[in-house]
Amino acid sequence: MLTYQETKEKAEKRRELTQRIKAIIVERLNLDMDPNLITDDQPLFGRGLGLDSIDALELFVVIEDEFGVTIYDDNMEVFGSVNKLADYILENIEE
Amino acid sequence: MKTTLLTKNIMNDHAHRVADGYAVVSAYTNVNEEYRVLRGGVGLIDLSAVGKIKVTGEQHVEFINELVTKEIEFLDIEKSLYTLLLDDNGQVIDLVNLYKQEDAILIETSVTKRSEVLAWLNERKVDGVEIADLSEMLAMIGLEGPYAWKVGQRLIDFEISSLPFQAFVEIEWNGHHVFFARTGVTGEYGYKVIVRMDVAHQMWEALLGYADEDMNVQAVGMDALEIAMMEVRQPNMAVEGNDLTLYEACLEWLVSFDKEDFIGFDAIHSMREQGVKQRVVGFVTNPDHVLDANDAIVVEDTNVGKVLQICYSPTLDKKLGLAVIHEEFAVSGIELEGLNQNGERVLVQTQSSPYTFPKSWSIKII
Amino acid sequence: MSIQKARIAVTGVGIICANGNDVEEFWEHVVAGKSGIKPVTSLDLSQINTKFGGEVSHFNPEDHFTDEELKQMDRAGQFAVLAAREAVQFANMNLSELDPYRVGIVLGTSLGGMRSGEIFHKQWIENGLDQTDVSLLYKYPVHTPCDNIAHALGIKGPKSVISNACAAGTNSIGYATDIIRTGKADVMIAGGVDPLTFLSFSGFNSLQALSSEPCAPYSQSHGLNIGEGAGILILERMEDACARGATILAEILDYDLSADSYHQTAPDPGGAGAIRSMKGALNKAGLTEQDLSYINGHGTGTPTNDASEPKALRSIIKEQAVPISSTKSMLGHTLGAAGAVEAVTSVLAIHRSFIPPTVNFDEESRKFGLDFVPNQGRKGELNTVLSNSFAFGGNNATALFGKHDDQKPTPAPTPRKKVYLTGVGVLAGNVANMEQFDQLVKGEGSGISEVQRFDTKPYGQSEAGQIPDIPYKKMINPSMLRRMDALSKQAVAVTKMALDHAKLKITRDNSEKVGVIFATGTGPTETVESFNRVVIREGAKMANAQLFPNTVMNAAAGHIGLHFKIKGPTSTITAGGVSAISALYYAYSLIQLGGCDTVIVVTSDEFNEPLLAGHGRIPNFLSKTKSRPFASDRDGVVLGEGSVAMIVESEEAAKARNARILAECKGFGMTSDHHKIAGLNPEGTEWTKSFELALSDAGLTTEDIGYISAAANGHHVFDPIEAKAIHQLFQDKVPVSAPGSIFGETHGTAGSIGLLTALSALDGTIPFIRNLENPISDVGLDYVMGEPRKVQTDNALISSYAYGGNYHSLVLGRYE
Repeated sequence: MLTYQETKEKAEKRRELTQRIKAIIVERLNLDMDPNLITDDQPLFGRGLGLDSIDALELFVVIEDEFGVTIYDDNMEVFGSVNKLADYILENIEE
Repeated sequence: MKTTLLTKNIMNDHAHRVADGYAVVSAYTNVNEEYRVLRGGVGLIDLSAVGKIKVTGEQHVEFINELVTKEIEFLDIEKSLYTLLLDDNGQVIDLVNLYKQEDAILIETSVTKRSEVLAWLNERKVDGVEIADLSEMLAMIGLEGPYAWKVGQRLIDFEISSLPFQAFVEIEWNGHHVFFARTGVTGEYGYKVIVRMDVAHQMWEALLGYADEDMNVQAVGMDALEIAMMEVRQPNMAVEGNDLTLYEACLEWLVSFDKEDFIGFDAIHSMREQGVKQRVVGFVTNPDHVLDANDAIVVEDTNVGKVLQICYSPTLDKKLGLAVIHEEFAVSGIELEGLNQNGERVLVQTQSSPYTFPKSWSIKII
Repeated sequence: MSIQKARIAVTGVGIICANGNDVEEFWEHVVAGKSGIKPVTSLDLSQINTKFGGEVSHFNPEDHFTDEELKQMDRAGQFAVLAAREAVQFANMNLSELDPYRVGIVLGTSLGGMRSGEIFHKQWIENGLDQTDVSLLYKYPVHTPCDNIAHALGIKGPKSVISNACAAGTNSIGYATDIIRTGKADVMIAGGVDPLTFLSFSGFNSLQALSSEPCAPYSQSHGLNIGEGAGILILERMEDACARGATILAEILDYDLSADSYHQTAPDPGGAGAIRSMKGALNKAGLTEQDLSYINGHGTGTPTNDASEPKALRSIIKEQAVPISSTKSMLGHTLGAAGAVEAVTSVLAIHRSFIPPTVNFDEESRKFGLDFVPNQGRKGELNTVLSNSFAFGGNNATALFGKHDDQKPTPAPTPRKKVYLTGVGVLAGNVANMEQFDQLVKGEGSGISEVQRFDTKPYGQSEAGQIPDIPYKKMINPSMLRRMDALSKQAVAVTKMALDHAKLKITRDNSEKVGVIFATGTGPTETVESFNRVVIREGAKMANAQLFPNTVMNAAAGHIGLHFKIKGPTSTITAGGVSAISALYYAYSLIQLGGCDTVIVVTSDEFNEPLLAGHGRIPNFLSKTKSRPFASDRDGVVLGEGSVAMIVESEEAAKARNARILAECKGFGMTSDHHKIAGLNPEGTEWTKSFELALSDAGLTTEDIGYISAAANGHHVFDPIEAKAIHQLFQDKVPVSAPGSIFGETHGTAGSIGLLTALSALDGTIPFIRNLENPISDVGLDYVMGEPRKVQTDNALISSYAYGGNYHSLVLGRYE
């Protein structure tokens, strides 16, 4: 187990990543909203943020551009939420 | 305890619970088996006890628009929309589904909030609107599962793939007027059938009869449904509706923040200014760990939150739960501890939603 | 004049595409099932996920054109002219013996002169604006390939361009049919052209729609291959064709259009829109599914098309085993030309009794239990062939071709329906709605203002007609607003205004019966420019998948359909400055021929930096000072943006819903000349002729006209030509105003703004021409100067023209 301080730092790092993802989504997809109003776990498609397949294609480009991480078009899971996208980036990013 | 006509016809001596005075079947057979039906076949869900309130009149859109958090000015006919109803203090009364008809809106409430919503609407009623409680007259049957569209196709005379998410149609079925809506709560293909209560059982039986060797169609109770809902972080008013603010419950996506006014508008804006101190996060723990609702979540010796809901997820083969946790620890991907009633510490790992991957996301309607 | 649903013969075809550079070569390869898909050589595809395309090969422009001709056309124009020449030859028709005013053209194209545009853009970005080759700009307009054909053939009749992306080819053949049937021409050249462009490769690449290998429609369906080429048909009345002893290759039975109202790029997954266009075409032709002997499908090879189209086909043919094939498997998806090359294919299939195959068909992945004519064509007597084209924006088009049948009677003429205007909406320089428009034109103000959006210094003109800030969020569903570009937002907003003004509600009952004709001169320039800029600067990999769907000319039409749930016939006209009146004529034709009873005509044009820069490159085009149409000291054009929506209804439909009728569309006159691209005949002969035709169509004489809305915009050369054209018919007896002096040059929308000033004239006030003190001295017209003029008149004439020689005039009359 990590200590209180370590856990807190890990959580802060995680939040920085999700916030960056939210800011990127809002900016690159031209959403007219405050990125902080996107929650970590809401779906990005359909009922959640209302993105669709065209946004997904744009997000592939943007995520590759910003993080150097390639998302393949059959990977629907990454659009499950900002958190899922963050997990995928963390798993695939080259340190 | 009241029982709707449909429930009366199908509940037999199955395990049930009481929600807002109404009997609701918890499980018809076994919760894990019913869960597998939801995630692999087609679950038939008796939603006849949910509130169905019809609002009509010249001013019906304006009236409802003032009560709900989403902007509905552009809600098209034959479209549905999830939105929150707040009270003056900005607390969530219910998560409702609105169905826009040509000259009316049908409001579907949660099963636990049916009378509260009706009372709230009546209290706020203005001239130029009529409010009719059709809850006893109309039944609702949910179809959820990766092959729910195959069953739905049997009811309609056009390609079911032409019915987009959150759209509905009014159809004739055996001479009866039926609403057929595409809207679900488990992440799988989901449809709802709204039909007169006195023909609901006939419909129920007909839907069950569409099973074939490749596709299981089976009655599914609330217990399995709630597990599947939690797995995709679908808000459940029975769990998240109490005490939490909409920010704490992470329901911002159900609010149009650029809408100019609605009841609770000022309250939620000032809540936001005051900052959000805690948030709901999903977590998993080993299936043999003991952890229950209301148990504390700790980091070292600091209490950072508590468990809201916990159940066994057959897909994950883990216990899956929701906890409300201090903002600074309310993220996915970290390890915390739960402190159970026996005074034991159990490891919990916070998770990213959806906690399981719905099969429907990789299946195309053909 | 009456309307006759005449039988239309196809007497000539011409084609150039990956599968053959002329009809015989093409057909030989089709019969052999030989594919023309191969690695592309004319564009650098290193950053694209495929090297394959349907490229026209062994093609030397110099073998076919003189140097002088080549200055007037780029690759698209060359294809178009070659196919048209071949078609005329095939038809054994001597055009010079015909009345040139009775020969017209409708060309479908998605990209037009985009190849030239792309080179210009690259020069601009890499070397700076002053290093660009201006001549490219003359070839860039989407209507230039159409002008190239008209000039090459010397025709003077109705000329228009359809640009609803991949449905344009089929749609243009349909519209050409309508033009003959409504009596505006005896012979129509119809078809489509599109070249391979970097825009389409990088766009479809960003949508992950390209197949990395030769495409396999209806089987493996791993994506499409882009193709290029042109297909042209010669259409004439059956009696005329028979009378001159022509070989009848096939007959055009009918066609129909529909809108999905589902998604910007993806088809309705259940094929509902496709079903409507196919059913509609069968109904209009008086046929049933049992008459079908072969279907030339859309069959792009993308997973979405190949999942939805077969469902729609099955729903149409029911249990029958009608052969269906995708000839895109052999020549790629030629976008705006696709419907036209497939029409050529369908016509030849009928005439030569052969069913073309779907090549590259993988038997293992056979689905749907349909007969896709796998890999080998077969002989077959074909009586009725159905051809589908589906496009972005959910625009669907279906055409029906039939074997020539001597015994079939010619339908009797029917009386012409009255066509009314029942609602309007407007956005233009300094006006946000109709009230402000009225106030402005009836008063003294100007719609032109100082440009603040960007730095105008490099371009020498700092003013433009600019739409004020509009609360779009209040008018447009916010979830859809985010997907719209500037042009689409304007278009949707004015549509809402017009629907409200007409008190017309789109409901489940009428949604399939209301049509939308969108028209634009500039098109979505801003979106095309931003999309291409990223591709040029950062490479195709960085192409923006969100922008691409809005780069097509019909994007706004798609948004209108989506936003208002309109599912009826939808088309897009991009014929330059005549687009508005051309679109009104199309609406009028649809009403006359029973396509629908209510049509929403929407015209939109932009103003932005790329437009100012481009126009600024053309010598002496932009004014350095003020907009002064018809003034002797005019020094050029001031640009403007604007959008107008008009609800056009049959008398029956308007009366059935007790609509308030604003005016009647009484007569149309449509002519063209073949002086040169981007130019006009200085004599104004054809322009005058368009006025005469409009008057005679309306059954009126010059004395009946109480107002002429001129198109003049301050141009050095063109203003005097219009003055001359007016004078040749009206002398100085009719008051003339130039709304362009108030709102700037609004391109395709100028005609609509002219129409709105005509409504104002019918209401008693003619706006005065701003900044006009000393009119052009050698032509005496009754210019309305200094102050608005009170008049009492029942009829007004709206004049419009497009660079390249195209004139569309409309008589708008008071409703009695």
